[in-house]
Amino acid sequence: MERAVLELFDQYQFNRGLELVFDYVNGLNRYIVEAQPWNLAKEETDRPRLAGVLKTLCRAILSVNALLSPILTATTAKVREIFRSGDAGLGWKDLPEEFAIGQGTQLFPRVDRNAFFSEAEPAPAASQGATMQEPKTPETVSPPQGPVVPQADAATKLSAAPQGDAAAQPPAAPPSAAGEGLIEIGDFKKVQMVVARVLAAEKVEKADKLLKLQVDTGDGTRTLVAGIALHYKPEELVNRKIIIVKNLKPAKLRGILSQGMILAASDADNRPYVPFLPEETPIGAILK
Amino acid sequence: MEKFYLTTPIYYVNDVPHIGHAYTTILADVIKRYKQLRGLRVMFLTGTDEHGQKIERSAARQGLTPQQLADRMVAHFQKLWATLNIEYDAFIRTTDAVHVRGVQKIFSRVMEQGDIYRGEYAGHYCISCENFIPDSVEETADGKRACPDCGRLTDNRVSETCYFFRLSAYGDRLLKFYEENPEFVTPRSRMNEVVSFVKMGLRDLSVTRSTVKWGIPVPGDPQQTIYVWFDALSNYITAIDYLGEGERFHGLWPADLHIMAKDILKYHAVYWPAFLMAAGLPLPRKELIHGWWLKDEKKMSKSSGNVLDPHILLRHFSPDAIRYFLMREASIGADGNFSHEGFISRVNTDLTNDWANLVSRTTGMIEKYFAGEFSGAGLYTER
Repeated sequence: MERAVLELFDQYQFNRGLELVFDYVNGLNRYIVEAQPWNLAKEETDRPRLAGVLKTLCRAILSVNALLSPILTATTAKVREIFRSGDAGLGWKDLPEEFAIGQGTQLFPRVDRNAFFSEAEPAPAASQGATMQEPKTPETVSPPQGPVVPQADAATKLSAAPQGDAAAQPPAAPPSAAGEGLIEIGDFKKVQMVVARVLAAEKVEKADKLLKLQVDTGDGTRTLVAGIALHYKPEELVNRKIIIVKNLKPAKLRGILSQGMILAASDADNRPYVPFLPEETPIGAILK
Repeated sequence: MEKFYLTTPIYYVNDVPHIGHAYTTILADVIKRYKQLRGLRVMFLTGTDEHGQKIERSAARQGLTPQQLADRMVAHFQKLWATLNIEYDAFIRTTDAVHVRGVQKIFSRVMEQGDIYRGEYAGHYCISCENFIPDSVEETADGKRACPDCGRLTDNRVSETCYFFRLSAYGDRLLKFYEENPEFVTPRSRMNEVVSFVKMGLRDLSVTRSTVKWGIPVPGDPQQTIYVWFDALSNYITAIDYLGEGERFHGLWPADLHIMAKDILKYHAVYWPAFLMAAGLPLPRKELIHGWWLKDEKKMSKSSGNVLDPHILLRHFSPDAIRYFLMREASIGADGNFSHEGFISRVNTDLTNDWANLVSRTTGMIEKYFAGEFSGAGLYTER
């Protein structure tokens, strides 16, 4: 990867070089999903392998960091600080023997879309984009307190212990709605959430982040597309019981019609945590 | 250590910095840092172009002297560059004494050599581009001519004595140089444009004006000031002490890379090499020509009111995010397209979701599973 990137940078083709760098970054995110460090952490005998996975990630991050350093001047300096790496040069990095990491900081806080648009394009209404888990409806322009907020709240409350690696991070603060943000129970009831069993799951071609799920809702089966592929492998989901929103308008994602959406909590980095329900929960049970 | 001397154009202080200036300068800064990473000793020059009739007139409108106006505008540029983490090594202003005297030196040298001569100019003049409009441009019924650079119609005619540069004598030498250095202008499509332009034939170029006071006086003829392009282009040598022409100058010249947008290609790839040939100086090694930034697929311009202000972006995005977006979305040679939607999703997807998330997951797991006892040594290595 590095050699190809340098060749492109040498020709001042920074756009193409950066494309390769971010393909690699996505590969590293997938590597975490495949290596499943959270499972390795359960067994003492797996500790050396767990350490190996993490060390590999550290070295890869520092190598990528060097390639990004001409562009991301401030953040790459922060990353070197976090990993206590004095070496800003190119190449695959060794880690110092006395290796410790410093305090992590938020490298790129998520930009508030509404605040940005209200200043940058004051006149026309800004379209509300989809979050990672929310299938993008063709109609767009859902108000900021649309399905996203109850979804995150509900998921957090309902979640069986979320799997994964993150230390307890606070869920992303819900976007502040106009007024006090309180809704009537009737508004909540409009959202039909039910328990479904995942029958099948597969990656969506040419879409790194999407999984196509076949689920059983008790009264039939339906297809859903979920933006969780960077963090969940298809086989982690099959046969699990999850929560879906049943009455969401169907939307096409990468040519696949998604009939509803799955619920997941999401942290500040938009990492999804899918709540899995106990095996005895009946399929089709309504959440209320 | 091998040197690498790179430049941006000097920016005209008639305008506040917009995203186009920011892009060129960020591109130069990225190249500087990249070359340093590759072990080169880099000299990165930027600056401001402060002379000319437009500045004279704007200053008068605002009740300022041209120098006062320039000083104010320069502060805007320098402040923006500091905010965007631009680490230039030198900042040249065309009102700097070292520049003024350096320009007079190269002017005198070319004149002694015989390629600057006194003559008579009569014709249309585009004030906006500070450019004479050649007679080959057809006149409209009401006596106007369109500026070949900006397209504006003007009936502003001037008739004056001035000095000419014998550009017509350099056509063959330029073509030979392009042939021997086919990579002189990058990308190649721009090189081809330059070659066809020169092949159409070159006319002598007026290099002074008698009606513009705000400029560098011609040595020995203070009634005349040196034409803005001759003045401005010379910054690339005056900033590295062409005046002294000592070790510093010879250690850095020729420039390794001039970076610019496509609209000033002709000046850099035709006039500038010809001036240098006439002054007996080596030619720059490479010129990198980038496209314009379009806003929602339309060209940004002051007149259409869609010029993008980098300061609005800076209130919502980190300098790194802006640098990343501009480098990620622009392809050298093509125009880049800027939309707010594209900007926000590029930043949130690549930088927040992918890169920052990778770093925070990794450090989070190390803290959680190894709580301070993670050693870099003797570990099983995956790859």
